[in-house]
Amino acid sequence: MRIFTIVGIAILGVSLAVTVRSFRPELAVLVGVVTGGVVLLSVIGELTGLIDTLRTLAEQYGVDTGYIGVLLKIIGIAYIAQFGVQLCKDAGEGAAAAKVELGGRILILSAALPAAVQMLSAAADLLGRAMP
Amino acid sequence: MGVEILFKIASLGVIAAIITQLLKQSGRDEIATIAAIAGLIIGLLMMLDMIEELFNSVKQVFNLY
Repeated sequence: MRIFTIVGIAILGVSLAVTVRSFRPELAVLVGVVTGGVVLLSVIGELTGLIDTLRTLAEQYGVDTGYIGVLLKIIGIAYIAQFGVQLCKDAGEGAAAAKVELGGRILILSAALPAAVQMLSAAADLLGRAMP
Repeated sequence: MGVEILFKIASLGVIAAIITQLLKQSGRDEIATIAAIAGLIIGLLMMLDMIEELFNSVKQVFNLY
Protein backbone atom coordinates (compact mmCIF):
# COMPACT_ATOMS: atom_id res chain seq x y z
CA MET A 1 0.00 0.00 0.00
CA ARG A 2 1.27 3.39 -1.03
CA ILE A 3 -0.13 5.16 2.03
CA PHE A 4 2.24 3.30 4.37
CA THR A 5 5.18 4.48 2.28
CA ILE A 6 3.93 8.06 2.46
CA VAL A 7 3.41 8.02 6.21
CA GLY A 8 6.77 6.31 6.68
CA ILE A 9 8.54 8.98 4.63
CA ALA A 10 6.73 11.68 6.61
CA ILE A 11 7.70 10.19 10.00
CA LEU A 12 11.29 9.75 8.86
CA GLY A 13 11.51 13.27 7.46
CA VAL A 14 9.96 14.87 10.51
CA SER A 15 12.26 13.07 12.93
CA LEU A 16 15.29 13.98 10.82
CA ALA A 17 14.14 17.61 10.65
CA VAL A 18 13.64 17.81 14.41
CA THR A 19 17.08 16.26 14.98
CA VAL A 20 18.80 18.68 12.61
CA ARG A 21 16.84 21.70 13.89
CA SER A 22 18.68 21.66 17.20
CA PHE A 23 22.02 21.99 15.37
CA ARG A 24 21.25 24.02 12.25
CA PRO A 25 17.70 25.40 11.86
CA GLU A 26 18.24 26.54 8.24
CA LEU A 27 19.06 23.00 7.11
CA ALA A 28 16.02 21.65 8.98
CA VAL A 29 13.85 23.77 6.65
CA LEU A 30 15.51 22.06 3.68
CA VAL A 31 14.78 18.64 5.20
CA GLY A 32 11.13 19.64 5.56
CA VAL A 33 10.92 20.82 1.95
CA VAL A 34 12.53 17.63 0.68
CA THR A 35 10.10 15.53 2.73
CA GLY A 36 7.16 17.28 1.11
CA GLY A 37 8.71 16.96 -2.34
CA VAL A 38 9.40 13.23 -1.96
CA VAL A 39 5.84 12.57 -0.80
CA LEU A 40 4.34 14.56 -3.68
CA LEU A 41 6.63 12.90 -6.22
CA SER A 42 5.63 9.45 -5.01
CA VAL A 43 1.91 10.10 -5.54
CA ILE A 44 1.92 12.25 -8.65
CA GLY A 45 2.20 9.20 -10.89
CA GLU A 46 -1.23 8.06 -9.70
CA LEU A 47 -2.78 11.29 -10.92
CA THR A 48 -2.13 10.55 -14.60
CA GLY A 49 -4.60 7.68 -14.72
CA LEU A 50 -7.16 9.71 -12.81
CA ILE A 51 -6.93 12.57 -15.27
CA ASP A 52 -7.22 10.23 -18.25
CA THR A 53 -10.43 8.85 -16.73
CA LEU A 54 -11.73 12.39 -16.26
CA ARG A 55 -10.97 13.21 -19.89
CA THR A 56 -12.71 10.13 -21.27
CA LEU A 57 -15.70 10.85 -19.03
CA ALA A 58 -15.87 14.40 -20.36
CA GLU A 59 -15.65 13.17 -23.96
CA GLN A 60 -18.37 10.60 -23.28
CA TYR A 61 -20.81 13.24 -22.09
CA GLY A 62 -19.89 15.72 -24.78
CA VAL A 63 -18.22 18.30 -22.51
CA ASP A 64 -15.79 20.56 -24.32
CA THR A 65 -12.27 19.28 -23.56
CA GLY A 66 -11.03 22.88 -23.45
CA TYR A 67 -12.85 23.31 -20.16
CA ILE A 68 -11.24 20.18 -18.77
CA GLY A 69 -7.88 21.67 -19.75
CA VAL A 70 -8.71 24.86 -17.83
CA LEU A 71 -9.82 22.82 -14.83
CA LEU A 72 -6.62 20.77 -14.82
CA LYS A 73 -4.52 23.92 -15.18
CA ILE A 74 -6.25 25.42 -12.15
CA ILE A 75 -5.71 22.26 -10.11
CA GLY A 76 -2.02 22.25 -11.07
CA ILE A 77 -1.59 25.91 -10.09
CA ALA A 78 -3.31 25.25 -6.78
CA TYR A 79 -1.08 22.23 -6.15
CA ILE A 80 2.15 24.14 -6.73
CA ALA A 81 0.92 27.22 -4.87
CA GLN A 82 -0.03 25.13 -1.85
CA PHE A 83 3.42 23.54 -1.87
CA GLY A 84 5.03 27.00 -1.84
CA VAL A 85 2.70 28.34 0.84
CA GLN A 86 3.32 25.43 3.20
CA LEU A 87 7.05 25.74 2.58
CA CYS A 88 7.03 29.42 3.57
CA LYS A 89 4.83 28.74 6.60
CA ASP A 90 7.15 25.96 7.77
CA ALA A 91 10.06 28.37 7.63
CA GLY A 92 8.05 30.81 9.76
CA GLU A 93 7.56 33.39 7.00
CA GLY A 94 3.84 34.06 7.08
CA ALA A 95 4.09 37.22 4.98
CA ALA A 96 5.81 35.47 2.07
CA ALA A 97 3.28 32.63 2.35
CA ALA A 98 0.41 35.13 2.04
CA LYS A 99 2.00 36.64 -1.06
CA VAL A 100 2.45 33.25 -2.69
CA GLU A 101 -1.19 32.48 -1.92
CA LEU A 102 -2.29 35.77 -3.46
CA GLY A 103 -0.20 35.06 -6.54
CA GLY A 104 -1.79 31.64 -6.90
CA ARG A 105 -5.26 33.13 -6.59
CA ILE A 106 -4.54 35.75 -9.25
CA LEU A 107 -3.20 33.12 -11.65
CA ILE A 108 -6.21 30.88 -11.03
CA LEU A 109 -8.58 33.80 -11.65
CA SER A 110 -6.82 34.71 -14.87
CA ALA A 111 -6.98 31.08 -16.01
CA ALA A 112 -10.68 30.74 -15.17
CA LEU A 113 -11.92 34.12 -16.40
CA PRO A 114 -12.40 33.26 -20.11
CA ALA A 115 -14.59 30.27 -19.21
CA ALA A 116 -16.58 32.40 -16.72
CA VAL A 117 -17.13 35.12 -19.32
CA GLN A 118 -18.31 32.51 -21.80
CA MET A 119 -20.70 31.07 -19.24
CA LEU A 120 -22.14 34.53 -18.46
CA SER A 121 -22.64 35.31 -22.14
CA ALA A 122 -24.35 31.94 -22.63
CA ALA A 123 -26.66 32.68 -19.68
CA ALA A 124 -27.46 36.14 -21.07
CA ASP A 125 -28.16 34.60 -24.45
CA LEU A 126 -30.52 32.07 -22.89
CA LEU A 127 -32.35 34.81 -20.94
CA GLY A 128 -32.64 36.92 -24.08
CA ARG A 129 -34.20 34.01 -25.94
CA ALA A 130 -36.58 33.12 -23.10
CA MET A 131 -37.84 36.68 -22.62
CA PRO A 132 -37.48 38.60 -25.83
CA MET B 1 15.15 9.77 -6.05
CA GLY B 2 13.60 8.85 -2.75
CA VAL B 3 14.42 8.57 0.89
CA GLU B 4 18.20 8.76 0.32
CA ILE B 5 18.06 12.51 -0.30
CA LEU B 6 16.43 12.99 3.11
CA PHE B 7 19.27 11.13 4.81
CA LYS B 8 21.80 13.03 2.70
CA ILE B 9 20.53 16.44 3.75
CA ALA B 10 20.08 15.45 7.40
CA SER B 11 23.62 14.07 7.57
CA LEU B 12 24.84 17.22 5.82
CA GLY B 13 23.24 19.21 8.63
CA VAL B 14 24.89 17.12 11.34
CA ILE B 15 28.30 17.29 9.62
CA ALA B 16 27.99 21.06 9.11
CA ALA B 17 27.09 21.45 12.79
CA ILE B 18 30.13 19.40 13.86
CA ILE B 19 32.48 21.34 11.57
CA THR B 20 31.20 24.71 12.75
CA GLN B 21 31.50 23.62 16.40
CA LEU B 22 35.07 22.43 15.84
CA LEU B 23 36.03 25.67 14.09
CA LYS B 24 34.41 27.75 16.82
CA GLN B 25 36.23 25.79 19.54
CA SER B 26 39.54 26.46 17.86
CA GLY B 27 38.75 30.16 17.76
CA ARG B 28 38.07 30.62 14.04
CA ASP B 29 34.60 32.08 14.17
CA GLU B 30 34.61 33.67 10.71
CA ILE B 31 35.61 30.40 9.02
CA ALA B 32 32.86 28.66 11.03
CA THR B 33 30.30 31.09 9.56
CA ILE B 34 31.60 30.44 6.05
CA ALA B 35 31.35 26.68 6.65
CA ALA B 36 27.74 27.06 7.81
CA ILE B 37 26.87 29.06 4.68
CA ALA B 38 28.64 26.49 2.48
CA GLY B 39 26.59 23.73 4.11
CA LEU B 40 23.40 25.64 3.40
CA ILE B 41 24.35 26.16 -0.26
CA ILE B 42 25.23 22.49 -0.73
CA GLY B 43 21.87 21.53 0.78
CA LEU B 44 20.04 23.95 -1.51
CA LEU B 45 21.80 22.50 -4.56
CA MET B 46 20.80 18.97 -3.50
CA MET B 47 17.21 20.10 -3.06
CA LEU B 48 17.08 21.92 -6.39
CA ASP B 49 17.13 18.75 -8.53
CA MET B 50 14.21 17.29 -6.62
CA ILE B 51 12.15 20.47 -6.82
CA GLU B 52 12.78 20.65 -10.57
CA GLU B 53 11.63 17.06 -10.99
CA LEU B 54 8.48 17.79 -8.97
CA PHE B 55 7.64 20.90 -11.00
CA ASN B 56 8.24 19.10 -14.28
CA SER B 57 5.98 16.21 -13.35
CA VAL B 58 3.23 18.57 -12.18
CA LYS B 59 3.59 20.45 -15.47
CA GLN B 60 3.34 17.23 -17.45
CA VAL B 61 0.37 15.85 -15.55
CA PHE B 62 -1.71 19.03 -15.59
CA ASN B 63 -0.63 20.33 -19.03
CA LEU B 64 0.69 23.59 -17.60
CA TYR B 65 2.82 25.58 -20.00
